[in-house]
Amino acid sequence: MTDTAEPVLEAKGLAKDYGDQLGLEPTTLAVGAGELLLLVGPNGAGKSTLLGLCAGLLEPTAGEVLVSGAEVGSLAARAATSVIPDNPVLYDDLSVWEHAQYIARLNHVEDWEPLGEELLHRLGLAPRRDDLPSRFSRGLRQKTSLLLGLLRPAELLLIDEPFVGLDTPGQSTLVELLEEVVAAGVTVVVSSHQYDLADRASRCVGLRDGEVVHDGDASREIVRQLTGG
Amino acid sequence: MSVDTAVLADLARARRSRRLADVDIFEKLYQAYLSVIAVGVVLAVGASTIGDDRVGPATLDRVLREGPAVVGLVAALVLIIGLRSGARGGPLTLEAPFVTHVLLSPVPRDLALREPSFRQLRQMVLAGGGIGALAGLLASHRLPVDTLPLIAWGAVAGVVLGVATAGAAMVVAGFPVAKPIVHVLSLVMLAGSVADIVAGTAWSPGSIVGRLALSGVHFDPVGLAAIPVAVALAVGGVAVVGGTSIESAIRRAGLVSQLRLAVTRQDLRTVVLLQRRLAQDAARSRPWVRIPAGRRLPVFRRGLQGLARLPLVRLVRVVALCSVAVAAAVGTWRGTSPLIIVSGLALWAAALDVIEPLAQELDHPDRWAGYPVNPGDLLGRHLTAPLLALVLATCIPVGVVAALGDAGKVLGTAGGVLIPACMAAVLGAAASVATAPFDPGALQMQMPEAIGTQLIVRVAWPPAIVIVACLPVLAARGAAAKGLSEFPAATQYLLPICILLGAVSMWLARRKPEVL
Repeated sequence: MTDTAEPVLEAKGLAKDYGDQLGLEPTTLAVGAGELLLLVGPNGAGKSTLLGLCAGLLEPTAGEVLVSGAEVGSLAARAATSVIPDNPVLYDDLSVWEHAQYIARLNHVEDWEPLGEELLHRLGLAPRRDDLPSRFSRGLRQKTSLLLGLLRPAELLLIDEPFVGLDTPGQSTLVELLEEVVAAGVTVVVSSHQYDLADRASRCVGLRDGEVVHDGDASREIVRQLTGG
Repeated sequence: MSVDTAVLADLARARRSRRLADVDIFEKLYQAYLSVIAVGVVLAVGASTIGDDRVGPATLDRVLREGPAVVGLVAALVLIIGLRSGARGGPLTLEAPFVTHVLLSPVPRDLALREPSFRQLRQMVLAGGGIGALAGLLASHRLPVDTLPLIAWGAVAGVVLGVATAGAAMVVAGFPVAKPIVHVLSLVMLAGSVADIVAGTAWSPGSIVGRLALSGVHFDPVGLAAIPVAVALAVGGVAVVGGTSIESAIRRAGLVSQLRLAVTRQDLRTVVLLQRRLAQDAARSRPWVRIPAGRRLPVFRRGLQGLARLPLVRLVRVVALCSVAVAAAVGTWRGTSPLIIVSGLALWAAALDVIEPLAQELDHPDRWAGYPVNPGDLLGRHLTAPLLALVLATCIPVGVVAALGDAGKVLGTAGGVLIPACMAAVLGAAASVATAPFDPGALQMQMPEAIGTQLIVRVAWPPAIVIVACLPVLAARGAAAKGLSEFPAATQYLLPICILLGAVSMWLARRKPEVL
């Protein structure tokens, strides 16, 4: 648990029932500023459900989520949260740079171009900046999705399986970027089985069958145990 | 203009200009040319099949008395579809990136959803107005009144119904209104329309739209009341649409994009499955009745087991579609011959639901290929249980019509038509789902006109055989007009119909898992 007085992300008795199956048992969680929380568990454990609820993409059956004290889904919470979904969601008719321009403006970011250029270069997208992501490979689409998620300012960054489809240099760059984001005071909640991230995470939450089975330190060994590896 | 509005407008402009840059102007002109020809053909065929025989004063009087309630029932059904769509997060179909990037950004959702709401309303105005005007034009061939008022009031009623449906759906989705309340509202609206038909009145919400639609025959000021209600629903819908569930929007976004692809490829089975997922219409975990285990007739037994798990909504839909088929056959009997097309189409649509056990086999070609029986033979055996179900479902409205009218004539006609028509419906539905999606690559070397015809034939022939199997209703009608018995007249075409159904059975028997 964090020592921070006011958590950036707070879930109180949060539960999700899909009707034919239980997505998440009632869960209470508080994540402080600048924490890198690693969410692990086998397939179907409830990681994406928990992230979706925190992002406001899913509606809880019970409980509530607060982001910096604001109810999830409210304007204030949306301004504070950046979400990178597991499957890149991109327009078919906008180039990479047009996507960046649009997302920055939607989020009221004024001087976004320098950061946009830097992210383009670090993610290896600079030569493809004017190309349509609809013609990209899975890995390049994932990089575009990361660019958009990291471009906008946020207090809370929620990322679902960000390493899927990335090549080795891309994975290393992502780990570096996440470290920088956390160092800047952003709270990051990431669902992943990546061992590299386990060494850097400040905390690990393990889920199994929709229940929290571990909430504490992160290490490769713990991740291996929680994912059944 | 606020910053948020300007950003959304800029995005729309950027995407529009990119799309326009990719447009081939000659291809678009060619498509427009083909569309004009297609609409012209539909109008010409529709008008000619209805005929120009004007109805007499007695029938016109009956149209004025009963018409609003009958049109009102159709309007009520359309409104109920809108309410149900709203309860599931409709009617807006948003792109997945719009949901992820725009609705999760700090842009007010009512502002972000305003343009999609207006677009939805515009589409409903165009569709409703077009269908209403077309109905007015077709009605003008039989009704002894001026054509222009019929078309104009038909269009007005269509627009009002379209706007009210979209508005009601947005209100339900945006508020949001709980599903049980939507079910109660739907039942009340349906009951009101049915009560109007039975009592010969026209005061339910649907019937008010019916009065508006028939104002071309006789102006009814009460019908005008539907206009402010529709406007209020639309304004209310746009005002509250920001409350639409994001979870539903994401689910719909994913399903609708798949649905569009399936429609483009004419993959009817995928369309049906996706529609069901969109409607959250899944098989029951507990069957209505337990089918006892046994060694004999495993395929028939498996069919009954599948049918026993049909959800209530699908059972109601099957009976409703069979009722539409029978009602349209009654309309045909009374003189409106084109209704036989509606009858055949409704029966074919009902069969699409009851052939689920066979469709499940087609959905799993690997399993299908693994059975130690001829693949086509297996499909044939799968038709028995659906046929039984469809005949039973059709017997319900036939029984009602027989009880209300001349039982001898009804049973005489139904006795000759019902079973062949149900057989044709089951075979037609099976043929529709057993038709593989078209391969665009295989069509590249053909002329555009040939491709168009080929695509139409692929979709149209299965329901067409059901319509053909319903045609003996016309023979029975002719016999009754001459004072002859209906049953022999209805069965005189049984042989050619059986030959046609036999040919379809042979086609189905040649289907193989690798073809699909």
